Amino acid sequence: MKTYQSGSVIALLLFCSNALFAQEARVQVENGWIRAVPASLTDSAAFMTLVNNGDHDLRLTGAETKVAAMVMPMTTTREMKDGVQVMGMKRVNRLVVPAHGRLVLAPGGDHLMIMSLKTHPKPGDKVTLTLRFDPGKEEVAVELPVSLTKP
Amino acid sequence: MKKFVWLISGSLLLAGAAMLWLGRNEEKKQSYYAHKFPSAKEAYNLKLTDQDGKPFQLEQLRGKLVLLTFGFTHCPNICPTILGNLAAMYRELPPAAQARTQVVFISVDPERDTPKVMKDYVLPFDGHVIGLSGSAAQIKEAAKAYGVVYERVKQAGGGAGDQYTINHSAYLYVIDQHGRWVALYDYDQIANSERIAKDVQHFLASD
Repeated sequence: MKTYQSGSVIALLLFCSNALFAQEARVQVENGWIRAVPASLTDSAAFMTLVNNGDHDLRLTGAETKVAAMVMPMTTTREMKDGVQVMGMKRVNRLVVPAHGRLVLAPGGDHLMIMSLKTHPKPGDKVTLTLRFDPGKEEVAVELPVSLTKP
Repeated sequence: MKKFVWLISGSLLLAGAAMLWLGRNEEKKQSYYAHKFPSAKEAYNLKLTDQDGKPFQLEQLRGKLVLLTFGFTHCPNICPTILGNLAAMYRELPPAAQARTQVVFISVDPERDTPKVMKDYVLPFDGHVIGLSGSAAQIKEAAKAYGVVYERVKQAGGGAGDQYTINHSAYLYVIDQHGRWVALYDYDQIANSERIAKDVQHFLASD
């Protein structure tokens, strides 16, 4: 079941909803963007705010896109080592969007890493990511602008 | 009457001089946003390769305020953010200060970050960033000199088997126009480009 970012479409679907649509993910995506990277690099990242209007936690487990082989949820780590703060990235199985809450994916924090790029979107391009959520393997397609820095 | 005039102007002059003197002290006490070292350290003369493949030495930037940071290009998360913030900081500087400020980005990923990769990487950042790379040994030496900690970590999950990331300390080091390492910013401070721009002008003004 695919739903689109357009608020009006979601509203229409919800209006028409019945028992069949009861399991539909009620998630909105705001202020999303994808980092433009030079052709010599293989990976990029997507950032956005996910809003969960439903009664149950949602787990973002990954995404699909035409421009890359895979999209994985990542978290930014910080640890003290030899007296300095060392930062890193770690893959996680899912990122939780709490019920009636939000999850912010931003540089320096949790994010979606877009790995093994097949094409290199340029600033100004738009790329579609199909986000995957559990429970129920719900899919939400979003079209995100490509930019060098946060728009 | 004349005596009175002399008295008044004399007092005003004295008051003015006192205020100037006090003001000078206040200027010195003005705090920096950066973590300034109690006494300046020696800035290790880095010898690496720039993005045009030419040999680079930190000493060639003497006379400029250098903002030095370490990272790697296969990092769409932290490093572009730092460079983006520094580009914003640079734009906030008056032209005279811009001419005397230099951002330098050093790669801790000698396997992947060649001069060509560095050139592509720093190009979008207003063209005002010098991107340096080197051999594993040179990078190790440079990192040690500035207290940079970094480690290669295999990345779990799918795709090419040898995917890796580099965990690294993400600080910004300030080397003043006299070639002294005087201060640093931690990662969370780097987002405040406005305060860093003020610091830069303050550093440049003090001799």
